[in-house]
Amino acid sequence: MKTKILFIILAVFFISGCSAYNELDDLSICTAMAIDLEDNNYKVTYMIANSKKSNASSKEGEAKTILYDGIGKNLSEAIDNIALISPKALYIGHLSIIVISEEVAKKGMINIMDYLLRNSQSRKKFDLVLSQNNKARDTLQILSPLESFPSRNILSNLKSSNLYQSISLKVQYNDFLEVILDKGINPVLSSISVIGDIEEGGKSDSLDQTVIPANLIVNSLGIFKKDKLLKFSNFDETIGINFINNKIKKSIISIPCDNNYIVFEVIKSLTKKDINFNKDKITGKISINTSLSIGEVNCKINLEDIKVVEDLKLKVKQKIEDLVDKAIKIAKDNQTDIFGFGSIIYKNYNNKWSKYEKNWDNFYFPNLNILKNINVKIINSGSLKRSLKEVE
Amino acid sequence: MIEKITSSQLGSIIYLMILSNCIGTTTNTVLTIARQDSWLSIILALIIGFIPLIIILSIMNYKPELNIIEKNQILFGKILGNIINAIVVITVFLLAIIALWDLTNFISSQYLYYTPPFLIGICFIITIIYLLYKDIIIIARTCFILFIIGFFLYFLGFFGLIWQIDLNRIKPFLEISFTNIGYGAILTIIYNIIPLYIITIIPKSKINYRRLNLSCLLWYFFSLMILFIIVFLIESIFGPNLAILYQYSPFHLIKNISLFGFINRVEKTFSLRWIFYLVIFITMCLYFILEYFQTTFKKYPKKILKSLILILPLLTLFFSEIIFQNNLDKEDFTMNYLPIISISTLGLVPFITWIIIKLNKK
Repeated sequence: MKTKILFIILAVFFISGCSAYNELDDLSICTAMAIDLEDNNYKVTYMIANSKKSNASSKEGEAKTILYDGIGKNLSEAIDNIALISPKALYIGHLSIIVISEEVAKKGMINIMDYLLRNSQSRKKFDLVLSQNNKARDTLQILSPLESFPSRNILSNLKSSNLYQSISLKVQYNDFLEVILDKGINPVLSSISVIGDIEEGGKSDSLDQTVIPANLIVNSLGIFKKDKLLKFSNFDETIGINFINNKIKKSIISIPCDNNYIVFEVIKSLTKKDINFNKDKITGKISINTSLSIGEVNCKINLEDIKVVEDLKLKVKQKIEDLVDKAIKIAKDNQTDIFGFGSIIYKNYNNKWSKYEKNWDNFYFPNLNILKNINVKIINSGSLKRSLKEVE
Repeated sequence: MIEKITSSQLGSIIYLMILSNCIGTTTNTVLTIARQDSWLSIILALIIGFIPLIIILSIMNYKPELNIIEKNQILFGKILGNIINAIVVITVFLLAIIALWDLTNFISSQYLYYTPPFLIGICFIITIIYLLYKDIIIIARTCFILFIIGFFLYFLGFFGLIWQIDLNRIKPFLEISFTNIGYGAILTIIYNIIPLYIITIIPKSKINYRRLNLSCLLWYFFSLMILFIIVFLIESIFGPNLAILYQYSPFHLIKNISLFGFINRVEKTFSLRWIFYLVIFITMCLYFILEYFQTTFKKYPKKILKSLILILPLLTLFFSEIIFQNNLDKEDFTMNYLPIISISTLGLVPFITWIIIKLNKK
């Protein structure tokens, strides 16, 4: 009995949970991070979510965040310098997004990835995004009336543009690293830019206005060769890349007709890739099956005529083929296999991979003949059977 | 009526002991050696592992009223038997130290960054001392309860992860040489199956042994299948390149758990089961050593032997604090030295014991 009591008393001291505890008030909770390059040093910006304002009774939509900067030769040094400014201990367990500037990405992502992967506090469950035409820090400054934190704003932007336009990709840290480490494939990453007045866009007064002075816009994809950014694709190339990589969720395709347009909505798209070996020659195969619905018809055509519909299908097919060709061209021109044809050889025809491994990106991929098989299905015409112009 | 350990309680001890080394040791080493073919290593280990398990069971069947210490003394003679027992005990003590190091390192590196490992260790040592004060019946009952909690967490985790499996990640098949796959299998046997020798310290007479052998074989199969699923999930969700980067890849894997779209950030709750497993493993190791002392030094006053219940865990804690400077040292030791130590003691001794038993029978 005495032993039991002794144990219980000991347990009270040791298992109280009070050892090395941290009060929430003593922590600076970081929700977003921006990494820029300044005089060849890394400039890290932390967005702290629980600034003093959030504890006070803040107005709806009022900024509740603060940005802290630190500069250093490496990430650890830069973050340590932030700790000198921040009155509270930095906590990155709630980090949800990292914005990386173009310059940093061009220098190499591996340089910045080790720190966050090694840090036990970080959950490695955050998204990565590039900043295009702006400093990464600028993107964290922009406030939105629809989201309380700019970090949430960036994430929501990425998510919606991924869901409704298939321009962006939601790339998590682990997934990006996995592609870098994989053989025969190179990564792509979404980018964001600021349009408008950055200074004004960071002021909380701007949220009271009907027209916001600055907005974040989801931009095209950054194309990498291993961990280094090569260039950004344009809008068409981005859609083409997403078609080939089977990342299209919803998108629109406009086809010219009678000096106007007929617009199709991509409802579903499925892409399969493969490699064919014919003696020493290899051929890539892309097979795309797309289901569409008619979204808008601004010309005089008879949609009930099967021949017209077949003709439209052909035009859409041609348009998708154009997008795919543009995507292939940019990848081949930059000698980077962002579609993973090399990975298909490595994973499915492993005994042949050793022949191509060394010069895959530089020689074999740029000279790879890629066959396209695109099937288009128009599954409905929306709420209307015919076009308004035709009835008119 | 004397209370006995039920076959399911013994089965849960087997389950907890097999999976105890999964997080800190097995996944790290096997994934490093066999990479995307690690799941083949586990299947191979499952098949080959029946051999040491059958040997262990047949040792248990020999003179059911005695524990392994007494059996060794009878089979090898008093002097040689004592020497062999002492060597085995040293190895078991080493396993307990490594397991406690694993436990404290896991917690201090993943949960409690600023808490000294010694404080973490002492929390568990108190629990272990309490368990050791109780009989093996209580330990077995605790094991069964922890098995149920652990399996429930595992089951939930499995459903949170199954949707993320991508078979493309475990390709190319058999890229790794068969030697590496085989080596991975052997290491799995050494880390997870050979330590089952510790359960021979429980005299069979203390177990309700109706269909015991079949039950143990089934529990063994079940445990190895769970280990297989863990390794398979790591490979097919992370891919081999990412999996070998992490110190505790199963822990990082369960960060991906998302249940019903809103239950996230559950890794700390779900990883509790590994803590349970390691606590039971250490308890069983120390129980083995205590039984050794109580059997070998019967003539000593009971008070001295009882005091060992307090001294042994504290010694384990002390050594676990100084044995490795960091996780790299530990990885080097478990990869290069532990297999040799383990196979030459916990592997060889039961094998020789089994041969002598067979010869004696003839």
